[in-house]
Formats: sequence, structure tokens, C-alpha cells
Amino acid sequence: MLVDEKFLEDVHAKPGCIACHGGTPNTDDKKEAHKGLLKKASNEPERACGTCHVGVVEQVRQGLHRMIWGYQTVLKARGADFTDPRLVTAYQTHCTKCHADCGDCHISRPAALDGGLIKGHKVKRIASVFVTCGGCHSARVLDEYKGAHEGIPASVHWEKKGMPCTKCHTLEEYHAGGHGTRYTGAPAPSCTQAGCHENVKPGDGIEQHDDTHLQGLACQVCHAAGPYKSCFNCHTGRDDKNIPYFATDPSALTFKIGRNPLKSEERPWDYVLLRHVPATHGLFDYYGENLLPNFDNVPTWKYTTPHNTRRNTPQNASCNACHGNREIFLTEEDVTPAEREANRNVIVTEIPAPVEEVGR
Amino acid sequence: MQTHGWKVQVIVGLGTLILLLIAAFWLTTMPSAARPAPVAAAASHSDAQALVVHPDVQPSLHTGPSRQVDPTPTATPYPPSDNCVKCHTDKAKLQELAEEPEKVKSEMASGEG
Repeated sequence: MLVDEKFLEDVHAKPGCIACHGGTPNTDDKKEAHKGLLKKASNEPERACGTCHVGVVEQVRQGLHRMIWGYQTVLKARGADFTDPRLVTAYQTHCTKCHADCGDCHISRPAALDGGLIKGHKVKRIASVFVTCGGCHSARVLDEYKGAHEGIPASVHWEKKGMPCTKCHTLEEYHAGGHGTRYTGAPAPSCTQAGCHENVKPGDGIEQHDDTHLQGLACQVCHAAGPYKSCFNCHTGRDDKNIPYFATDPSALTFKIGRNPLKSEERPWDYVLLRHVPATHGLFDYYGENLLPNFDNVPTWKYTTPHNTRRNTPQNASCNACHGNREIFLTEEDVTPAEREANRNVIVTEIPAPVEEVGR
Repeated sequence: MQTHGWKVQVIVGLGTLILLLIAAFWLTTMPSAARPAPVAAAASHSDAQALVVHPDVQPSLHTGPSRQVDPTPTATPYPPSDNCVKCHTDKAKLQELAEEPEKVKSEMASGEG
């Protein structure tokens, strides 16, 4: 690991390497010097970062990015018993690699992507949006945001304004997050309450911004610019050399409007966009039978907020681009029989009828 | 005997105090990789659960309140890191000593993610 000499002038270098990474001083022998080494110092954030950044580390220790509570929340909802050693083994083998500690964002590429210093160990105050955020949230966020899918435009927020993730997503979201998933509670960030689109309301001059549409549809239903990535199935296990692996089916670009599975006062919409996630009844079968006994408690077509946002989109080009357009709604035939029970609450059974378009 | 009794008590007390100070210093300054990991049984139930499902399976995850550390820089007794710096800023030396990490991707892995 090559460290840029400029880093040695940085305040973070003052305590010395061993203060954060451990190891053995006063020896030039590689093996001896590496005794007691902690390669990724922020695996123990309280010792490495928390000696100065006390409050942040306290917050991050239980934060969403570090503890990936979303996985645990959903797996528990599907019946996972985290006191069952078989389930814990499966979870620790296949799911926890995707968490992020301080160094994964501020010093190196995420360990889940095999790491690598971003800039010779420079401690970046603001993480690299595209190397760091995009490193993990690539196929399902960054590619959509930047218009990487052929024929589907980028978000206007990127194309016109070049807005980095940090423009909408707050420090609180990165460092805290608490239990649950990122869809727990009110939308964050909120399009209408983050100081940008607060004028969106009935009577704002846009015909479709009436009570029916604003209360019935999440913003993305009308303003996602096109299909976004869905993944299907995931099988985990170990091969004959005992190396863990997972295998997923090919992904697909999908655009599906479905019933809102998280309807609440804060998310009152009848319809939201849905994305298929790589989960299947047999996800952990290698580790034991029926480790997710309540798999059907959570849909496999899940609430999503694609990032390819634009004002004008194919589905809002006219009333009947959406009304009566069966293709863009999640119907029973879109869902495999084995998954229909899990998705019962999000499948649209009655497509909104076409309307008479006057003067368009 | 009684005249020696208080002396013994003072010596024992001082000895205990010194041992406690050494232990506290060791726990707060030495890399935890070099000290024994607390066992999960010492954790509260909820923290034990976090320990079980924690991303890094960290045996040394703190289970009590965070240490309150004075953020004011002081002359801390960190060991010197000259040997680390000498090597890790020397590209040629690193290339000479580098070992290729063993490829660990299974041939059965497929798909995105």
C-alpha cells in the first residue's frame, strides 16, 4: 500500500501509523513490522477515528451504512432467525461485505470493491461521489442518474446541474440512519421539502399536479425517465474449494408501477415504482432448509425511487401514455407464480382506464 | 504487629493502584489487535445480537458506552512509525516486497452484484 508523502503533513498522520493501524515499531522486517496490524483501521472506528471525531463515530457505529440494517430488517421480516447459527453463517458470509466503515468512504474505495487508496491515503472530508457512493450504488443508482443505460436519459439534476449525491442526501443519511431501511419514515430526501420543489402543489400551473395525482402517485411514477435496473434471484453457497459465491440471473431494465407497499401518512401514494430485487425463497438453502420461512411477507418487487428524474417522460407525455397502458403496470402475469403471494399487495389488478384527451 | 499492619495496607493499596493505572493505560493506547478480545458473553443482550450480525464480526466491538476522549491534541505516547513510513512511501521497495493476493473468486459466481 503506497502512501503519498504529502499525507505525512496532514493532521491525520500526526499520531503515526501505529496509532490507528497497530503493527510493531522499530523493525525493518516486514513480517515482524506487521505483527498486530489492523489493515483497515476503521474496522475499529472508535480507536482510529473516534479519538478525535467522537460524536461522529458514536453515530456511525450504529449507522445504516455500517450496520446495513436494511438487510437485517428485511431478512427478519422474511423470517430470518438471527439466533440460528446457520442463518448467521449465511448472513456473515454473503451479506456483510457490503457495509461501509469510515475509511471505505473517506480514505479508500469501499472494501466491497477490493479497496485501494483513493489518493495516497488522503482523508477526504467529502467522499468521492462517483468512486465511493457510485462504487456501491452503481447499477441501481449511479448508472440511472448519469444516463448510462443506452437510450434512457440521465437525470436532469445531473445533466443540467451536475449535482453530486451530497446535494440532496444529507450527512445524517450517511452517518446515521438507525434501524429499518432507507424507506422507513418520511422520504429523505424529499423532493418537495428539501428547498427545491416546495412549490409543487395543486394550482402550481401544471395541469397534472392536482390532488388526485399528487396524492395518488409518488413523484417518480411520472418523472422517472424510463426503465431502471431490476435483478432476479440469488443463490448463495460455497464451491468445492470452500470459496463462497453467489449467482444471480441476468438483470433487466424494467419500468413497473405498482401499489404502494409502504403506504403511510408520510408516503400516502396509491402508486409507486417497483423494482425486482435479487431475493428468492431458496436464497440460503445451502446453509439450511427453510431459513426464510416467512419469505412471502415482503414483496420481491419492491418500492423504489429510480434516479433518472426528468420533467418530461414517456409516461407523462399524454394522459393515455399512462392510463390504460397495461405495459407499465405490474400485473399478475409479470410475476412468476412462485412469487405471486409475496407480491400480492403490490400487483395492480385494475389498470386505470384510458381517458378522453381533450385539446392535446 | 499492628504498627506493621497499616504499612502493609498502604503497600497493597499502592500496588493495586499502580496495576490499575497500567491496565488503563494499556487498554487505551495499545492496538486492540494486540490485546485479547472481550468475549461476547460480556455484552448485553442487544449488543450481543449486534455482535452476532455485525458486518465485520468484530470480536473487539465495544459493548459499553463509548470512551469519552478529549479531542485536544496532546503529547500522546504513540509508538514511532518511522519504519512504516520508510517502507510505505517507497514505491520501489513496496514493489519488491509485494505479494499478489490470492484470487478468491469462485468459478461458480455469476451475475451482477
